[in-house]
Amino acid sequence: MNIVEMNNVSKSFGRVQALDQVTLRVKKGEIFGFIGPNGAGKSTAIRVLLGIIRASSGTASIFEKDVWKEAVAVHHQTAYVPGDVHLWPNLSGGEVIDFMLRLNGGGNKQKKEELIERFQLDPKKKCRTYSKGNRQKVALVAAFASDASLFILDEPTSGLDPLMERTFQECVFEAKREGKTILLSSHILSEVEKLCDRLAIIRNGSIIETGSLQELRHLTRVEMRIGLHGEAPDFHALSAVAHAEKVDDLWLVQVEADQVNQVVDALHGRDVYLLESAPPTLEDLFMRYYEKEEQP
Amino acid sequence: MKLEGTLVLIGLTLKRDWLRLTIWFLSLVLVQAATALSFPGLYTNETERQQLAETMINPAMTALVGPGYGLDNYHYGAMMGHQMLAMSALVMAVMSILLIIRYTRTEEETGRMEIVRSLPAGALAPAASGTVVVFVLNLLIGAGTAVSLGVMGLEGQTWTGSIVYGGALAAAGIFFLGLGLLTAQLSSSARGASGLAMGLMTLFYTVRAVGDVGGGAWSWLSPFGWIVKSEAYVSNIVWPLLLTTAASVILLGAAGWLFNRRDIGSGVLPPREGKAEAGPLLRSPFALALRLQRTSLIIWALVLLLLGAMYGSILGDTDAYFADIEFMKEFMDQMAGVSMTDQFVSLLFVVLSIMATVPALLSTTKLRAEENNQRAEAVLTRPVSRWRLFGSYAVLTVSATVLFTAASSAGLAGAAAAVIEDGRPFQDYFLAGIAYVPAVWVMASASALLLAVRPAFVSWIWGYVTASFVIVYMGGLFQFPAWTEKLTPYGYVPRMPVEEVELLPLILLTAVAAAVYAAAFFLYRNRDLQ
Ligand SMILES: Nc1ncnc2c1ncn2[C@@H]1O[C@H](COP(=O)(O)OP(=O)(O)O)[C@@H](O)[C@H]1O
Ligand SMILES: [Mg+2]
Repeated sequence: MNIVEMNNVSKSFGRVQALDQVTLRVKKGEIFGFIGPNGAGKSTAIRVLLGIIRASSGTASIFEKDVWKEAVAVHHQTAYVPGDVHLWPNLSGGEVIDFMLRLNGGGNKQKKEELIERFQLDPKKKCRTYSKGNRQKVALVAAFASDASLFILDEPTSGLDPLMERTFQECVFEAKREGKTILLSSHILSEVEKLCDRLAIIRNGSIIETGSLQELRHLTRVEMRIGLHGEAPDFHALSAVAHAEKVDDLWLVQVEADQVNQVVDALHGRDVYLLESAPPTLEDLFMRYYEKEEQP
Repeated sequence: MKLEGTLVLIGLTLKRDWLRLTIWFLSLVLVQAATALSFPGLYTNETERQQLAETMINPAMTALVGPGYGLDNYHYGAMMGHQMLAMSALVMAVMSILLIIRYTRTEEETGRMEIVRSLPAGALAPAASGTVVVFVLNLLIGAGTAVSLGVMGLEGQTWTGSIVYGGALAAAGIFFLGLGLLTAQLSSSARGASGLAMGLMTLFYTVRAVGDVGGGAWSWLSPFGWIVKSEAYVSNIVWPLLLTTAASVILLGAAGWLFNRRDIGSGVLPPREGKAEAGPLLRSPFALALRLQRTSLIIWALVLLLLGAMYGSILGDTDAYFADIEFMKEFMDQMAGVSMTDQFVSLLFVVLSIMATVPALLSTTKLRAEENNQRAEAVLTRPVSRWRLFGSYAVLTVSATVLFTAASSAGLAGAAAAVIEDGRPFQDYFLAGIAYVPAVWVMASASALLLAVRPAFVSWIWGYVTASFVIVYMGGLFQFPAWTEKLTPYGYVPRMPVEEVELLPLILLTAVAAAVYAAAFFLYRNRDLQ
């Protein structure tokens, strides 16, 4: 079952085309990553989903309800954390959390207190005095203490220190374990790599790839390090090899991920003493798409 | 040495802030001089001055500027000392507080003071340099004022009087320099320090007002009371100023003592903590809007009440007073069979209703700020409809309009009923004021419509408010054609008590406001948020 559905959604601000025919599905119970460089359109897509702005064309629904017309019904089960959290300077963090939770129908008091503890937030301080990271903590506590079944998180960790980032990741996994659905936008690829089941890559307002990390990896290259005695096969002659060079005694070979067997076959019968292959990181993958687009 | 480097820091402060300091100096000295210069033109002869003196004997005036003195020979010097001293001292106080906190607490907050302290500068140098700068500025303003008034030498403006007057201003400024420096040690934030100092300043001014009106001892508890006791230009008593100076020395000493005993960045008082949990009422967008605006609602209502009472308190002698002033006659169309006082009252009610419009519109501006700062988004991404958020602010604005108009009307009506001989009962006047509520609603709905179209348009409403003010207030004076009044909602309200009560225009205004609000609701529901 799809919790979030966007079908050919476009959005333009005057002449700026922020979203171009975006189609997206987030399934129930998964952590869906939404990655792309700054200005790619992640926040715009999320703001459409939240009914803050209206799509110029296309349809979007959450829980099979129209995100614009039935926004209130959608928000009853949705929690949102923006990248840059703005709070009321005169209220304390604790007051804001309670206020937000009450708008959502109460939330869980015990869970709230536990989260405040885990994120090491001082709820008595006025929001005026909070740093960016602390304001983000306020929004995260309010989100994870609510009874929402969908979490929409737009670069939620940009102000957190590494320790708190880990706490955040634990919270996301806990939510998933409870069967909740998470849409996480980020430009920190290692974070997405750690958390997400499936992801979509967006560039200049268009989705350029969607799939599980596994699936996407097949679309890229593996880096192999090969050490062997005697004569080496002609790696350059293999169609799967994009690049090969000898550094000191080792060969570094970049191979299309779904055709590693070509290299293995070529090595057959030779005196191989070292064979390592590193899976492509999301960053390699991302850069690959980026380069592809840059090429004329 | 603890003061090492003070001179260098003074130089830095002057280099960085010379423009700000110059503006304070010039505006304070020039306002004093300009006020004195305007007196001879406004009150040409002794009769007019004595008439003015008559109107000064009332509690509202005493509360505002201090007890009347020299009223039996109300020359220009006496007018200056009586009408201007207390208020100018208040401005000096604000200036000193803002500047000294800027040079001490704000420096600490931004971390600049830490850098300074790590240089070969004495521990006391940052505080001392700021104190010296503000101290000298106060002396210069006092001297500048004394010289400009003394040179002017209008009737009754003796050199002695001018020196006492200037000295009184400087003494007031220096007292609050001491107070500001002290609160800067007490609070751990610049905001807290200026809040505390400004609060104490307001308290001192109020204590003086209460004391002066009651004729009792309370005024002696306030530095403003001491300053006013100098009776510049009339009795020229110096020792209250010496008392003020002695108090300043104590304050500065106490501040220095505390400064030595605390860490950089901390305050003697613990920072004020907020609540860890929200109160039971904070559970709807309306409750939040009310919470965010409640202080300003209360303060505005009180200010409008006082403003109304102040205007009202001068009404007692209107007929006698205005009969002699050509200028005032032109302000109002002469009408047969209607007393000058009633005409003036009805004019005051329009003016007050426009003043009451200002805070009523601030509520709409607030929603705009909420949107611009992405806080409206924080509420609307919860299960809260646009209708509910917009409606909360609409309800608040519509109710605040009633509150503000009622406050200003009650003030004016109360004072008018009390001071006008053979006047009307309170409710007649009150009705005349409260009748403007639908007109203010129209303005409020217009601002809501602008917000619903595009947030940036909201500020246009101030142009309309200003235009309305010019039309209704100055229209008579500049002989605007009568139809111009119909360009503003205020022009449709029957001008009681001169005109008869008429319900139809009020109902129509309310209907217009409702229709405009409806359009605003629709547009707000259907546009993108910022
Ligand atoms: N309200 C707006 N008005 C005009 N342009 C906008 C607005 N919001 C976003 N954009 C533009 O749309 C593009 C996508 O922005 P955004 O969605 O914020 O990117 P991301 O969140 O991926 O960094 C950017 O070029 C940005 O300048
Ligand atoms: Mg973004």
